[in-house]
Amino acid sequence: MTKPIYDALALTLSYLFMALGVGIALCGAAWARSERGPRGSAAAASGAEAVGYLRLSRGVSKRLSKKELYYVPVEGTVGSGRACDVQLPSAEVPGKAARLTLTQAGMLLSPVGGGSVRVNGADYRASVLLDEDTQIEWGSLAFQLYLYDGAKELAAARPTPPLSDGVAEREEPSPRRLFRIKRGSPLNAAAADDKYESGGPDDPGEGPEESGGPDND
Amino acid sequence: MARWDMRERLVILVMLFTAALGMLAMLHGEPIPGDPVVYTADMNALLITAGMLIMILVGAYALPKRLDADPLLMTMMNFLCALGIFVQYSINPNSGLFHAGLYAVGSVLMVAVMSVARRVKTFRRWWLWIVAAAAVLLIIPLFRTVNNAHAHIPIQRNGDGLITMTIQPSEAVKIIFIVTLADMLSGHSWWPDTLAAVGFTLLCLALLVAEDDLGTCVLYAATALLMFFAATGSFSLLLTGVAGAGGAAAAVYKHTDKLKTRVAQWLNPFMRVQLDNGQMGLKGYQIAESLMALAAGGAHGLGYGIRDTFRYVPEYSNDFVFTVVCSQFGIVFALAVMAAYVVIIFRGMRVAGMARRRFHALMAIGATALLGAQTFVIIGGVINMFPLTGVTMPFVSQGGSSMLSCMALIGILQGAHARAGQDAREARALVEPDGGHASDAGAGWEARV
Amino acid sequence: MKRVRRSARFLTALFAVMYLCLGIFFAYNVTVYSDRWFADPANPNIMHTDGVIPGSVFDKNGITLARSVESGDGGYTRVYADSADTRRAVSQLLGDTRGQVANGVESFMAAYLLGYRAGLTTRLTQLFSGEPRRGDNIRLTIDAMLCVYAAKRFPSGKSGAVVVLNYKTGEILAMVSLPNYDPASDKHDAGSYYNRATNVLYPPGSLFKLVTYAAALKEIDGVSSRTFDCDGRFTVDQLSVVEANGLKHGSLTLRRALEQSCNTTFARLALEMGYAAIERQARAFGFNETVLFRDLVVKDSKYPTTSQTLDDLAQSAYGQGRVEATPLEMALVAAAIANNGTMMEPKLLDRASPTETGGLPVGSSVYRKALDDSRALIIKEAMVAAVQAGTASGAAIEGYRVGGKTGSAEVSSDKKVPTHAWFTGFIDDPEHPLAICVLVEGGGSGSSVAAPLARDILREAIRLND
Repeated sequence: MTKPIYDALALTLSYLFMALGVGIALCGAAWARSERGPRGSAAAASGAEAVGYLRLSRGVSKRLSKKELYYVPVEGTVGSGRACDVQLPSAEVPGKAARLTLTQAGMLLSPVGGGSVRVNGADYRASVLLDEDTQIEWGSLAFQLYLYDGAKELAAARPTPPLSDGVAEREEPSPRRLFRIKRGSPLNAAAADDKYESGGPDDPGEGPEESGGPDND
Repeated sequence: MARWDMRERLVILVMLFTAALGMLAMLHGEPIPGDPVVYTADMNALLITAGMLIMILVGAYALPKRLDADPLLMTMMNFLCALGIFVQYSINPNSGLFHAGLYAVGSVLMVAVMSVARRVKTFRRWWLWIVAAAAVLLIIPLFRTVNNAHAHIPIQRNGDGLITMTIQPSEAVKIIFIVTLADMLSGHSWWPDTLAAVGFTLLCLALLVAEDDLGTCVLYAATALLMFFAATGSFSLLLTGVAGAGGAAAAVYKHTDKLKTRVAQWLNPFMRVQLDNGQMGLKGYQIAESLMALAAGGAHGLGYGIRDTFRYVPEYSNDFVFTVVCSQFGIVFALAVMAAYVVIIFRGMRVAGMARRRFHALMAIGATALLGAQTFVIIGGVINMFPLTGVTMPFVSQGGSSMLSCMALIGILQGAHARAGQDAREARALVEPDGGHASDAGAGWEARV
Repeated sequence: MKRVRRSARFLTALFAVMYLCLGIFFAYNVTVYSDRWFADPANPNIMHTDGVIPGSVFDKNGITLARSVESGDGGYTRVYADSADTRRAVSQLLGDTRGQVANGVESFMAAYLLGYRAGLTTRLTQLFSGEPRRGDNIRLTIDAMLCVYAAKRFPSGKSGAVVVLNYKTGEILAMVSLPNYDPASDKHDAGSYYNRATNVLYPPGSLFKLVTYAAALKEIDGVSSRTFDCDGRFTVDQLSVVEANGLKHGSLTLRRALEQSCNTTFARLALEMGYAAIERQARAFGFNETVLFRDLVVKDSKYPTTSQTLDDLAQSAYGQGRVEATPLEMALVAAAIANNGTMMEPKLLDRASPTETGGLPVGSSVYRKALDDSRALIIKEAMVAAVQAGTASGAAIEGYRVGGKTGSAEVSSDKKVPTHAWFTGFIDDPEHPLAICVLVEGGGSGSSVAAPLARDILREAIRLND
């Protein structure tokens, strides 16, 4: 291998390396983008245990498929906005359409912001307990809720639903308070007796998620 | 499935890169002085290339399967490690071999850390020992120094009594620091743990300042700040921290000369001044030489192993290794390397988002923040975006402690990834004992519609 | 956990932004500045050529200004032009690679001369031809004979600079700085390494009235039809503005004020307009800006506005006070005026190629539009009038329409210290679109020393061109 041959080879390959570098960067970026990480309904599933799911039972939508499961957490908002725990990306569903809460009596659907929810063809201004046949409707679309077996056990630890108008809005910890971390709200009193690993100074209502399964050591 | 294509594509590209570079390294070897200059084929390079190719495959397929690692993260890390090994090889074949050895050891270490991180949910049982170990490791350098830089401890001398190998304990402490901080910040009780966390952080920072290792101190501070921010979610904390850091920097600037020189060199590297030895030279000659090497590289580089004018750049094998990359491979490739680091950061933060345990999430954030900040700081210093700090470039810089600690950080990330996956599976199993079929949701409950 | 997750998302975005800034900074700086970084003489790539034989430098007519004589073992000696006069005339322009002359062609264009700009095929063929690697040869836009003439015609014993350029294309035909040195000899005069055309700042004196004039035409309505009274003395504050030689110009229009170079009129205009207006126009001409030309490094000319006293403002109108400019800059001012207000980028490199001849010529580019066509025309006419009937009559060339402006810049309040003699002007002829600026340090009067010098050099330029 003489110097000129090596130099020629290295010189030609320098273009190859430039192209390979660009290719690797782009491929890596594309791959990262395609697996962007939990978003919307998947976030709900990984962030909190899913107690069940919504399924599109009637209607046609470009972005919602009848086969897809939209996981529902123990409690959370449902709507088309990205900030919602159950994201139903359709124009017919309002940005923040309603709130779903698991209670002792079952899954409660509550309207938000003084609006109403449409269930089985009728409008309700108060919370509605959902049944296996209940169709939640927005526009021309109707969704049906399915709950897992295990949700019943969880439900036993949940509060009873107030019979007055709607469940109280959960108080979010105010980000404006300096360094303040809320210890837990009274609603979570039942879950306060959690094991050491379960997270601690955190948002209320997320106890069960941290007390993860069998102790591996 | 689309995801499988992506993995194949990326792995093929990285393997092609490694193979081509390895071939050049093999052909380059050592020049035999003579007329004309002839190179020998180098068997070491062949072994390294083969090993690296195997590791890329292992990292992309075997590890994700067995240990639930993140294949994209592994592949990008392997890409950077391959680049690092061969760049070190072009500087000095022995150095390249050593770097390859470090990579091997580091891989084992990474797998070990991975296995540990995914199992252990808490360090609380051992935290006292760990903190003590950290303190000891950080204190030792105060008593033994190399080159007036406290951070390095000599552990090997060659025949002439010159130091040939040093270790930097502060690198090992990086891991301990992140893990301990993550543990303290995910504690159940709020006040004692947070106080302990703040105290521990300040202790480490103070020790680093005492050792005059300002670059690492900056990194530790940044990582700690970001971890505190992640734990509390409080932007005011972040802003206060940044302001505090700015204030500290201003204070240091006023009172020490070192920062003043660094800033002057940053602003005007090409100015001609009287150097210490009485001759005229460039004020910021380190940066100036680096910039000149960058300019020589051009878009596609001078070519691997062709010219070694990068040797005029001081510290070309650790601090300024990015300049060597630019000079040999070109500016476009250098930008791609930056992108590779960005992908690693993204995947690391994604692991943090996926994690279901606070401890693992915070660890992931800490590890990613540290890697991201370190790379940012060193590349920024080398291209003269801000004053230079003495930190190394992860995976590419020569330096045992640096390589091992960075691979251990990746191990932490992979461990957290595995744990997150496991937790997700367990959680699903908890609520879907029969595989998640729909049950009669209303049965037994009163329907009030 | 939600907080941690949200923080993770925020941090991802934060790092993305940080690295994006890093990437942009990197790409931008390397693209814009890498030529200058490379050209620093301390560059080891220049100092250690790694067996590459530097290419030759030719002037526009093919005269060899510098070449490498190979010594057979891969080494070489750098040899300059055969004639000592030529060597001297282009000495600072060529510069060297040792850093004694700042930014001469040998170091500033080292990237070409050492083969860093060569294409892949050239490099590959060179590798296999068995001969030592050679860099590209470059052909400059300079006319060496014109430089020789300018250096010879320059008043002996005096320092200064001459710049001649083509205002349509921006090509520099001559750039001479006195005193010069002979690269082939070891001795050199003190100060001969400076390139006074590009690297030294002087007070431009009355030449700056061109800028003030342009500013006035824009800022003050109807200023062209006004009449001004000059009685030889105008007291501002502490300062009294006087005319050269105690002249009184009487009643004049603005155009005549430029023709006769009336200080008091321009001082009055400045007081009317204020710093900002003049600075704007000066900036349009290239003052107060960090200039980044592709082919050469020029010191930035300055029009400082920080003094804020009336005296300083009045003085700045006629280029005294703290105004400073390089001769190249003043040539560019005249060039812009002659070219309907469009300032072309000064060009030194005509073409680069691995062979002796051949290679594609590098195109010209517009640097900026310094002023609009109508104003340029007005000032152009005024400059022509200055040559025909005003202070610049010494520059008149038979058969050609020449425009110009003279200046005698004071450098000290001591009347015994001679002024710098300046002239800047152009030939208004599409066949010979030449602009010139001459500066004679301590030469005395611009009209009697600088203008005839410019005339002779321009005449020679025309002769060489035909």
